Amino acid sequence: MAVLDKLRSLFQPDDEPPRLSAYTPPPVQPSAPIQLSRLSNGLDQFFLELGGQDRLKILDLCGAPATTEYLFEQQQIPRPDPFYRALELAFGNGPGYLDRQLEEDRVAIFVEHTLDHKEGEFDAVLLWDSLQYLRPELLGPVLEQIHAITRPGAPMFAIFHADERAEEVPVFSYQIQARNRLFLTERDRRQPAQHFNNRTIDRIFRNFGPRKFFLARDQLREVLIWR
Amino acid sequence: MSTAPAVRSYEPEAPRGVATIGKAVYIKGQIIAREDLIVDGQVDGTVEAQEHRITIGPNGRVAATIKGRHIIIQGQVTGNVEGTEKVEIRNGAKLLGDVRTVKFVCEEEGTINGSVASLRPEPKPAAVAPSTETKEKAVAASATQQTLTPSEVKK
Repeated sequence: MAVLDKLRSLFQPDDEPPRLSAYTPPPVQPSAPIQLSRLSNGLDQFFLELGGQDRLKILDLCGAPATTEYLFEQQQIPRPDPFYRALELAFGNGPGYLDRQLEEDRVAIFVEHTLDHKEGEFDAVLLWDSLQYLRPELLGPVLEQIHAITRPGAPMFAIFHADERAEEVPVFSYQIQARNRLFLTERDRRQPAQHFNNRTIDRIFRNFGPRKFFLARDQLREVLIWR
Repeated sequence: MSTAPAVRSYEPEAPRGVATIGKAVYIKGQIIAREDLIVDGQVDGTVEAQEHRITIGPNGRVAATIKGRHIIIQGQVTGNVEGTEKVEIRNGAKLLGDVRTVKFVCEEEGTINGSVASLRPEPKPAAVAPSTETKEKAVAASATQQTLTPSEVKK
């Protein structure tokens, strides 16, 4: 099956960039992509929750090299994961990517071949805005998997676009510059799968521990969730 | 009395060498190098050059555990990598495996799918637990559906 082959390509060498029929290169932006450096109180709190301990295994769903380097220099054990790439390979990134998330076979293959880690393996997770692009049909199984691979009490950092009227939102690449500062690079624009307010976020994380919300001026809602 | 100077064979000291596995070479097995090594071909097995630099070139396709002093990856590697001094993932490189090293560098277009851990001695393990105070604040914030401003959070 094409989807399965392409997801497998993330875990083996390839001679050519993997392609899926549903995958189309990100459209050329009419204007320069957004790049900004911003303070992040949520991230600051995330690091505070690590309690000054090192050698913690931190799953990073964005996997920007700068973040991997930063966490390594902080004596942690970063684990970059190609989650966003897998999402694009499985469901595409152009119009219709949300419709394809309704196909049960695709969802089953995606869930089986991504976030494939040991139970309770991670001490912390950087989710970034990955959940913003998952329909409820996909979001549920993905959150179950994240719940399974993190240890109880693990802090998780997530970001949601707070503008509930936006028809599309920028897809950022997130890099940690300092413990309270992020560098964001826009790499695409996409229709969000659903809009998340505090009530929605509480509902989707009902099987997790407590939450703490941080609303910044730039319409990004940061959330810290404890497993 | 004259004495002829002793004739001694002259063997210039070999310059510090670099062994190269070219892009048309396929090796299956164990490679142990005592000099710097460049792999631009295909290797399945293990690659070791404990005191030296190992470079996986842009054409390199390596399915192997790699151990060396300084490891530079420009091609594709499937396997764990251990660099006693430094590991570098260059633009266009793809590493599917875990890294253990002292210094780690990954360029913007480099890809790694695996964990990156320090080679320094491990400290005593200790469990992580969120502070009770923070948890209580978080529960309160969640229960009231209240959005905390950054200044409130710091209180």
